Amino acid sequence: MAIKDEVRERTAACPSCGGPLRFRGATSIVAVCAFCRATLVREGARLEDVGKQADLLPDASLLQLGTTGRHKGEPFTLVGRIQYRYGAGTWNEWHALFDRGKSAWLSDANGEHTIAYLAPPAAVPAFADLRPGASVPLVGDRYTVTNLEKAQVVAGEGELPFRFSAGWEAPVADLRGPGTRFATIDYSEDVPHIYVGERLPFDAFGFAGLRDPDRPVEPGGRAIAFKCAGCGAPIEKHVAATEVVACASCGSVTDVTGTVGEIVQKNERQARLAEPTFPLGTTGTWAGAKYEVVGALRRAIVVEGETYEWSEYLLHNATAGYLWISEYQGHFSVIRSTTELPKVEAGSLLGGGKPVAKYLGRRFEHFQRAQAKVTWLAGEFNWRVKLGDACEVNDYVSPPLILSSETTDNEITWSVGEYTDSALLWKAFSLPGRPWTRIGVAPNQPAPLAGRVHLYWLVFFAFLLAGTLAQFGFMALNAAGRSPTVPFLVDVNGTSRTTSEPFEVGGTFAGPVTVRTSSNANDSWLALGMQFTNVESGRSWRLDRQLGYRGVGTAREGGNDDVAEIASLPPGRYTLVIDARSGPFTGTPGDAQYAQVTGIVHVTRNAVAWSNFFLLAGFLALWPLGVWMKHRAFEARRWAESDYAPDSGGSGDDDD
Amino acid sequence: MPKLYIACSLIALALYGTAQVRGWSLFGSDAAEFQRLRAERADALRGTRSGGGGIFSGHK
Repeated sequence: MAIKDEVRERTAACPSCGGPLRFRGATSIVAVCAFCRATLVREGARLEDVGKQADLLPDASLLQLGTTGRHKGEPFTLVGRIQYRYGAGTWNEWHALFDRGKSAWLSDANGEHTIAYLAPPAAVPAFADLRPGASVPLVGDRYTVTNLEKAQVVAGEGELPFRFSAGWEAPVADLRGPGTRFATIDYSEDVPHIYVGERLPFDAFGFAGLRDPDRPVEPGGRAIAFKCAGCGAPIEKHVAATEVVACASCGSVTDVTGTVGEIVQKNERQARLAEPTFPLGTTGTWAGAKYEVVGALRRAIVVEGETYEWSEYLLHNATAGYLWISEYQGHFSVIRSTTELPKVEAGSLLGGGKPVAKYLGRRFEHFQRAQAKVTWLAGEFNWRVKLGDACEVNDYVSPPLILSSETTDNEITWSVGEYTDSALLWKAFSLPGRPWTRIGVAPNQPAPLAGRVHLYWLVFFAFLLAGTLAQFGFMALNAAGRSPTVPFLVDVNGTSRTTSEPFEVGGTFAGPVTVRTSSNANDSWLALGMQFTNVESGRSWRLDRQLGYRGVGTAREGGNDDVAEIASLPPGRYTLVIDARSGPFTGTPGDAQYAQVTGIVHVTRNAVAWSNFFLLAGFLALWPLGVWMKHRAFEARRWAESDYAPDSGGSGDDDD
Repeated sequence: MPKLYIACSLIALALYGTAQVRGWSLFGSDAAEFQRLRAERADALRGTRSGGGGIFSGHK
């Protein structure tokens, strides 16, 4: 049906009901009447009514027609919306009109917001050739395909820049670029339309004129009641964006986007999760927002024949969107979608061959790759999840964070989780009892001694430096200077007294002094009585020594030299008196006989011992070594669960 | 902060300083080493004789 009407300057009356219409954008050619939902196409000065629009599906979007915002300082107004349905749910494309007529598309999908502008046409790969994770050059940058969908238009509202109809199919590829950059390629036209922009947090747009976030899903009601399409048990939809509800009784999955629940997956009675840690409906305040637990599922991976299973809880807040809590053997992480696409790099030899993901300047090491499968589910979900759904999961860790990618045939999604003290969760969500006892080490569990090992080594090196300086200080202070020598002489079988000139015994402290004596007493014995007298104080130290040989049967024992020590001799000037007494000549007849025994006494201040320094260094190293070994043991337990455990060969091979 | 470690390290450093000032050493001094070697030689000499072996074993 075509109805002609006069289009006034940017305003018109609806040909169907007479209600006012506005065309604020010069490029807007379609307007949906807010009163009768007639779809009106502007063709020159005429308006053509191409039929009634279908009803939009209720969703959790806080945006609405008339909402204003800013991007890069430029104000815009949301003047139209197209709602799409895809395999996992619905999303909105809002037609954002800027003051000078420029327009953009603001995408609102599950609380994630991107804004994109039409880019000049360019050669892009065919839709069929794209795969999640593929790299595509666009407007001077490399983008990575994150999502491939054949979306269908549900309905539209407001004013829009092109004609559309319900059920119209649009093959769409979403891509992520460096940082927050985002791109969409719309393959619904012969020449693909490329939209380039960025993904930003909700608050970054400075929205005003939002929908009341407390508005319930159904006027006057807290939730919409449905019947499980599998077993007829009552089920509820609390969140407008919910696509499916999984029955806690039978596990059947019911589509709740319409007014009557439709079966998505029929399941038999499923084993109940013994006691979900976070029962459905549990509410609590986390990061300043009040969340409600709306869904719970269990997923499992099989590694070398052994099944590892964990729980995931889906929480929702009207303004903050969704977050997840994962639970594995008493370990918990709070998980959100990443704000940027992490960059994955191949492993280096230095890093043990583990691939690395970089996200927000942080480096994550690859931990595990596995096929994860949904084994149990209950509650409502914002995508069409089913029992048995599988995807490839790659985990990268940088405690306390864990970065995970989940890849299906048409999508790759990234999330980042933070290891969370269970006591905090227990308190925030008023859970009964005490937090579970943790078993083992979680991939992203912070090592208790992480950050302290280097502190211990820092202290070690500080003390080692102090010890080294002290060692060289002692060596300088206790430098002996010259070693005085005192010669003496005594007749064979006689006595003598030798008094030295005053000499200096170096050093700063009263320490040990070594007294070395050498003589020619080869065939007699020699008794020496040595007295060191401090010239200044008059204090004396006595040292008695025996030199020479004595016969033991046919052999001789002894020696004509000697080394002795005075344990503590203060530095200063000393005289040495040597009282020498020699025995008779005991050599065999015919040997050269000497008449006198001569000798020399060396007095040496003992060098500062290095052994004490090394003992100190060893003692100081005990702590950091112990802490380091304990830390290594913890890390070994962590990585024992990974693809890089010593007995796994470090291949990172798929475990499915 | 590793307070206990710092405290123990301070004590160890003080003990080290005391040992250096007093001339204590973990190992024996030159004099002690000299006495030990001489005693070993003497023991060897006596052992050789009492054992009946060696160069003084009866072939004088």
